[in-house]
Amino acid sequence: MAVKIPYPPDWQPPQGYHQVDSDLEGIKVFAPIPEKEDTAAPKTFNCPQCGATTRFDVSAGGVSCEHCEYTRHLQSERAGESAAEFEFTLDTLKKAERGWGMDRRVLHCDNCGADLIVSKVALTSTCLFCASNKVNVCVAPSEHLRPRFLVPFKIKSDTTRERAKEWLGKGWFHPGELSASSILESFSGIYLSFWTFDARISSVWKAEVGHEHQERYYDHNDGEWKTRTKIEWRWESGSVTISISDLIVPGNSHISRLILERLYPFHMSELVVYAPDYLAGWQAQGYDIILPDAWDEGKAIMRDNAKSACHDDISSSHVRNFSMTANFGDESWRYVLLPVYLAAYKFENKVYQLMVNGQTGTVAGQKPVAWWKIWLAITALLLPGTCIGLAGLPLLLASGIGILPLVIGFILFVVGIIISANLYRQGVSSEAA
Amino acid sequence: MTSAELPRAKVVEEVESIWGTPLHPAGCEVCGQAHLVEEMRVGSMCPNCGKGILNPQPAVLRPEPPEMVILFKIERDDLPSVFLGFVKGVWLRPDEFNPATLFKRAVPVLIPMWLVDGDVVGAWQAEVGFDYQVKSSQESYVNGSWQTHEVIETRARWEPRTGLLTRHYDNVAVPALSDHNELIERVGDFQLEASTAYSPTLIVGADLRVPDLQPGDMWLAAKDNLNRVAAGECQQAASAQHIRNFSIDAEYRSLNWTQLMLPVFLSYYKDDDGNPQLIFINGQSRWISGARLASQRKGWKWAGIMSAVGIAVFLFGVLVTLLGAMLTPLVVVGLIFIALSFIFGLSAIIPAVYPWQHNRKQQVKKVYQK
Repeated sequence: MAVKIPYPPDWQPPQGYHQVDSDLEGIKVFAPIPEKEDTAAPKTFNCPQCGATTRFDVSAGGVSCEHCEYTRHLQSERAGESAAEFEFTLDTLKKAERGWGMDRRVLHCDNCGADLIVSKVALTSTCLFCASNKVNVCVAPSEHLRPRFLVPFKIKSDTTRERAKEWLGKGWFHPGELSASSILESFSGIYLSFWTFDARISSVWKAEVGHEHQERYYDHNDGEWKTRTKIEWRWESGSVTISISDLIVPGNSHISRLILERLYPFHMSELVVYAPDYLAGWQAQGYDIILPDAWDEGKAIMRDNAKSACHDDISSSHVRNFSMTANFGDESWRYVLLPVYLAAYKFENKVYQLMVNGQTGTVAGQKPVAWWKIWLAITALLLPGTCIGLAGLPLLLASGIGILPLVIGFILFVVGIIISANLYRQGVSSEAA
Repeated sequence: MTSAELPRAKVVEEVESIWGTPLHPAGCEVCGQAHLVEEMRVGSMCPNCGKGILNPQPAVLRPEPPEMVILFKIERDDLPSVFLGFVKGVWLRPDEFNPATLFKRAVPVLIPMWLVDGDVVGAWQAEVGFDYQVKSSQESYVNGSWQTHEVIETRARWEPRTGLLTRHYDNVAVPALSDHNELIERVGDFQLEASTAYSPTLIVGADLRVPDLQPGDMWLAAKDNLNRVAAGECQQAASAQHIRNFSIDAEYRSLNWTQLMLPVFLSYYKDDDGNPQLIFINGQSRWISGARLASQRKGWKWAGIMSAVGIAVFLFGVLVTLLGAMLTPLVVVGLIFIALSFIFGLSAIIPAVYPWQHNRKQQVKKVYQK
């Protein structure tokens, strides 16, 4: 029952609070005003001095103009590994499954008034008509599902070519002319979307574990006591808890996963709070692998880590009938943008991809292989064993002394096979994307 | 509100005109507790301590009768079966610890509580919790493959809220007796919502405890309880499922203090040392509590009887064994009697030890009787 009595006359809600709906008459409720960020409106980057287009400059650590040397330093808010993480709420997962909810979007250019059609995952664009840079975070289906943190570019774009040349020049089984700078097209810096996952996994395992022990027995054939190793199988169980932090899963399906994973690690300690300025003049791609799918992939990696931890917990290498249950707890995720330089180059009419980690400078990519070098090396590796073996065969047949070269030849041949297989695998992997 | 503004009690010598039923103030010189009792109960044993006599004395009372009463849901005729269940299972009970004596001494007593009505006007702040669900997983690895089980967990998200409150609250209960908490601990909670408006006929035959805590003494407790009710309403107003760290800067206006009476049956029995052991029955929920003691005196008595029988059988056995010198088979009979005497002697330990062991474990037990 409400009564009509005036409220305390001088009471004011705290700064940053606003009145919200109350379910009871006579009680007023004030809540903090939610942080509202203008995620829909694109931000245009023009120089306040000369009006030219500005972009984020890695060496200046801020937005700068190439024409008049204007620079505005960014007061980056370092978030590091403690950057906010989100839980897997049913609400978020439901929204994440819907994706961005649109195929193409229209970005309006404030500079010249043009309407730009961009793909649903593009976070930045350059106006085709006035060349001004625009940064816009897509209207995400949930406030959580927009990038909140990023690792800024640390490697300057002009050094990437040198790094790539150096990387291309490494390795004897690649074509010699590969390091020639003329084959490299220009590198474009792009922020790619990644999901990071944290979880604590408590596992309980059960298995039959074999313990070796020596036993003495009497060999009737040889008529003497001998020692042999026996395995005694026992059911054992145990529990292991592991914590996994910042497991990275790519959020873009059209970038080579193989090459991307060779760029790891990215250091999450350098995460900063997202600001459109970082993306000025750079490309950026939103995710197209949705959170539930990325989490399924992350979970699969995590549970395999948990399985390995359980195996490490077992005191013997002999294990059978292994089973385990992994309980996930404190699961959380982040959607972050990480810096990568992309380039493609043509070699002998074939296009190869190249990437540079924009934070650490690690280079990875496809590298053509001079297969004749590999085959030559394989031949050289297999030849000694084959020759010695072949030489030993007639000696064995003739006088019985060929057993030694036959054995040596066989060993050399096997070693050659192993090294050759490894070489071949490296060659295939070098060209793979 | 200050204590000076709180309603005051006054000395009352005759309450019939205000309570609508002939009640006499009486007090116990042992426990010092004052009661309002019917004339025939004056001079009876004090139900509160079972030691003193209720002698006439003036009582310090609020002038108005109680506002609400919780009715006895247990009839007096039901008490023997309740006591029977309570004493069952105790061996070597004291003579007075039997259903008949407990029933004879059972007295219906009404325990007072203060009911506070008033307006609360002020500014509040708190953290309110909103439930949300998260999806977690349990992964099982069996026969070389993984199986995923989804687990849905409910967690609370805490957010700050503040606001203004202008609400009227009725019948917020506050203890009126200094031993209220001990009494509630013995008889369990009452469902205060089940109370009905006071009528003189509802208290006929019962002793009424007189409050020894006045509104002035209980104002802080009343304020806390009003704030607790206000906190619940603020949680409801914020559409939240939880509330914590609630604080309010409020004025409390138009306060009205009345009484609520809680129904209890009190009885007692005397132990070996003649000390009364009180038995409490919640008149609403039928919870019964009290110490269920065994008599050590009876234990010694039975141990003595069994020992005497054992000695007699032993002596008879020795005699028969000696007679065996003349008739050999008697030796066997004599030895059997000697063996029996030992069994008797050893068995005598049981009644000697049982009361000590039983009473040592005995706490004030609550036994629910339907």
